[in-house]
Amino acid sequence: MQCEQIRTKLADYAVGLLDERERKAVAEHLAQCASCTAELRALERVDRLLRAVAPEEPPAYLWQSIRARIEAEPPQTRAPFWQGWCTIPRLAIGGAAAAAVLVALVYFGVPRSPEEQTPLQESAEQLMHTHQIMSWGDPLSDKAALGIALASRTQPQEVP
Amino acid sequence: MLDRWMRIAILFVAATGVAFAQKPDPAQRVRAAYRAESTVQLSGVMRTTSTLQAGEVSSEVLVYRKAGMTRYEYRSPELRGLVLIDRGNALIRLDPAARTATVETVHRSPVGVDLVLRNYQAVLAGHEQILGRQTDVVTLQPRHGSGPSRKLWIDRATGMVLRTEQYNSGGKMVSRSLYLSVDWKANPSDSLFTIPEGWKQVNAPVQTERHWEKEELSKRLGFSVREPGYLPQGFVLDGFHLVLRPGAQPSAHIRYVDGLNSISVFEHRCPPGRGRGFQWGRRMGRRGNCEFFASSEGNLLVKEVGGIRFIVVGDLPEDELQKVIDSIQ
Repeated sequence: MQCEQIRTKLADYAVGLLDERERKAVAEHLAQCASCTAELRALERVDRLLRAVAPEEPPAYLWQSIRARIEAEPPQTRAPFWQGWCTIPRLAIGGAAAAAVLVALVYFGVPRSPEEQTPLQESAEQLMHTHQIMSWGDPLSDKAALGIALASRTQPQEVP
Repeated sequence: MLDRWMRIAILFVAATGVAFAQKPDPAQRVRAAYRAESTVQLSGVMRTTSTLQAGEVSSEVLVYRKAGMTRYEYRSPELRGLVLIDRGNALIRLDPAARTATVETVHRSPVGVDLVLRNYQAVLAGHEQILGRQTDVVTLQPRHGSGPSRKLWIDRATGMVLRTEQYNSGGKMVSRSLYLSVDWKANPSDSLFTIPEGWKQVNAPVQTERHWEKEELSKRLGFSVREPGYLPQGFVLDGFHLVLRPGAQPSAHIRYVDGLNSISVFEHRCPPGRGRGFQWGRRMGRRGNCEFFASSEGNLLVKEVGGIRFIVVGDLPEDELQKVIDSIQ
């Protein structure tokens, strides 16, 4: 095999994902090729570094904060239509996304047209939160349980 | 002989008196529970479960109460060390992962336990021992039609609610909490009720301001705030509020309460665009000129008239909610 072919398999080789035949072919190549061996060593170093980093617990409500940022993001200007047709991988991604949307439509029902979709800030979540937080001060409310409901929908964010 | 009968009669009267004296008045027990919320000092461990749209979430909670303040430390891994501090007029949420404290203004309803007892029938359902203490089990059932209900296990000695179950107007249990242990002699440190030093303080994204006068609020929003002409029996006006949300139109919030239940009417200018954009609950389609959404946490109706969007939220049957929103002229 040529170096280009070998290098596409080095990552899998490093973590033992190749079948016996491919593993043997790569090993034979590495025995003769200093350049690919150096590449393999570099991959192994990266792997060791990644393993050395302790898995970090994601911060609480990470998804909510990501969602808040996405919602705050202004809409992107569309790229010319022909740009999307340039490469096959893009078409593949597009196809997969379309399939996912189709499944979602079948499952959840057809939404209204795009111009009818309003900013997410208008989400009833916020109003529901306000409705609930006001009941915090009501007599005999189960505050411990209410806290769970409030925590599940509030998204702390810095207000200037 | 007469003396003997006299003794028997006295004993009978005394026994009857004791029996009556031991049977507590459920309404008084509810009042005692209400008072205990602001007077009892303790620390304890509670098990609480809340039914959300996504399903049930349970957590063990460490509770500290002192001088009308309460600290809730949630132990469930899903809640990742969440701490809530109720300071009476503010609710502080401590997020240990980000070392931030989110402060929300808490509005205390001016109506108290009297309204609860006016609209809900307190019934003594029995007596039970919890943590070796005698409790009176009291249910609160709506006096008028459907509505939420509550079951309270009230400590005979202190009035503390040691166990509670909440049911929505459909009769479904929406939350339950139970003390697993209590230290009645605890003296929680004052520092438990403050924001830890060095933590970042942030404001909640949705801010609810104090009570407003209706005219003042209309002037602030630039349109005439309207009240519904119809309310289900037992509901009274709690107040007008201003709700500020990031990136959204400021909104009027008119709140009505009946003691255990509440109705929120939100009013704001329609944002640009035609849709309603609600992302909450299950869209149940159109009802007349409204869109209807339902969730385990309540129902929601939306309608737009003259460029103003009206949203009514409450744990009410759909037809009642419809009457409320239709009566907004």
